[in-house]
Amino acid sequence: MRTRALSGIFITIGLVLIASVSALGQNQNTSPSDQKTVVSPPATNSAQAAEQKPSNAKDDTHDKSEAKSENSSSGHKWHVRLGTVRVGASYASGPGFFYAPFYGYDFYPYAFDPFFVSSFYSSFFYGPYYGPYVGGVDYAPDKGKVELSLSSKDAKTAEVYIDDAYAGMAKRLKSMWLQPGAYNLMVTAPDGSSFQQRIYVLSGKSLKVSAHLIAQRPQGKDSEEKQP
Amino acid sequence: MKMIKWFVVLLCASALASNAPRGTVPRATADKYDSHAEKNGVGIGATMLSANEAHKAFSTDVDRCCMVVEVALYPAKDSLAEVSLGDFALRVVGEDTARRPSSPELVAGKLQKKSEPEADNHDVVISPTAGIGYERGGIDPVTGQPRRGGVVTTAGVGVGVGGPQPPKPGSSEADRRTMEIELREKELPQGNTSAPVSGYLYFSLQKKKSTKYQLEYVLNGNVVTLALK
Repeated sequence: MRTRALSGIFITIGLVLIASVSALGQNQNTSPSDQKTVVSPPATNSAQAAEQKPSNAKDDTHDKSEAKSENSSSGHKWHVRLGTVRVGASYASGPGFFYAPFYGYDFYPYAFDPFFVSSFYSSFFYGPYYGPYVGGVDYAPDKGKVELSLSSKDAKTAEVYIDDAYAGMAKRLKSMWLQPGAYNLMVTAPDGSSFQQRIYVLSGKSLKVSAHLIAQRPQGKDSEEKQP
Repeated sequence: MKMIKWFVVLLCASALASNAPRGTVPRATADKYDSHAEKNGVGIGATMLSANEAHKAFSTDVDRCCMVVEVALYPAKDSLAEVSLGDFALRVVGEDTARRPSSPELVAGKLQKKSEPEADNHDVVISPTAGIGYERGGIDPVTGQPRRGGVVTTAGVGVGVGGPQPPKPGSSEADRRTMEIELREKELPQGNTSAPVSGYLYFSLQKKKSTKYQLEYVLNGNVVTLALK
C-alpha cells in the first residue's frame, strides 16, 4: 500500500516537472517574434511616400525574415521526448543486504537493483542521443555495412573472399561491416561457380549485394547488369 | 639501396593501378545508347543517368552535386582514337555556356560532408523506471534486528533537461578517398585506344526537369552534338 502511494507520488512529481518545463519552452518559443516591431519613418510628401512604400514593405519583410531567422537560428526549441523505459526485477537474500529503496536516496533504487545503476546511466545520459549499441563484434560507427544475399542453395556452402583473402562462410556473413574503401568481393562455391564484384564501402552506408554464382565465369551477373 | 626501394614501390603501385577496373563495359554498338552519332568512322553513344540509375550504379551519392553521363566511343577499324575529357562538354540547349566534365577529386571533395559542431539543445527526456524484487529477509544492518522479506516494488521518473548535443560526424577522409576511387574507376578512360571504351562523365550541374541538355564532343576539330534524353 505504502509502495503504491509512493510510486504514485513520484510519477505525479515527474509529470508536474514535465508540464512546467514544456510550458517554459512554449513561452521561450513565442517570445522573440512577439517582441519584434517594425518602425517606419514618417513620409514628408506623397511622392516620397509612394517611393518609400515599396522600400518600407521591403524593410518589413526583411525584418520579418530577420525575426524568423532569429527564431530559427537560436534553435532553442524545446522537445519532450520519452527516454528509455526501464523495468527491472531482482532477488536479494542474506544478512547485511542494504535494502533502502525509499530511505531518502532519491527515487532511484540504487542499491536495490544490481543492474540498475549502470543501465540507468548508460541509457539516460547516452541512450537517447547515441542509441543503444547493437550488432556484432565487427560493427563500428565508422564502418559501412555490406549485406550479402545468395540463393539458398549457394548460401550453405559458399565462401566469401575480400581482396583475395578468406573472410568466412557466406551463411555467416550476410551482414559485414567494413572500413570505408574499395574491395574486390568474391563468392565461390565448392562446385567451381563464383561471383565477383568490385564494391565501394562508405561509412554509415549500407550496400546490398545480390550474388548469383555462375559456373566458370569470374564476372557476376549483377555487375554485368550494372555495367552494360 | 634507396633507388631499389623506390623502384619496388613504383612497381607495386603500377601493378595495383593496372588491376583497378577502368570505365564500364561498352555495349555492343553505339546505337544501344539513348543518343548516338557517327563521324569519320568513329561511333559515339551517350546516356544521361537519372537519379535512380545513378543510385544503382554508384555507392557514392554522385547525383547530389552532379549530372552523370555514360559515354562510349567506338574507334574506326584499324585506327586509334584519342580520348580526352577536354573534348567533351555539356551544354544547356539554347545557352552559350557549356560545362566541361569535373575530375573525380573535385566531385569527391564536393560530396564530402562536413561535420557539424557540438550544439546545446533543450530537449526534455523522460525516462520512466519500474522495478520489482523479492527479498528473503535477514538482519537489518542499521538496527541489527531480524527483518522480514517480501516483494518490493519501485517506480520513478527521470527527467533530464538540456545538455550538449553530440557533434554530427561528417564524411571521413577514408570516405572521400573511396568516393574518389569509385568515381575514377568508373570514369571514361582516357588515352589512345583502338578498342571501344565507355565510362561516366561527371558534370557539376544540377539537373532540371524542364531543361534540355546536349553533349558535345570535339572529334578532329569537328563538333559532334548528341541531344541527351
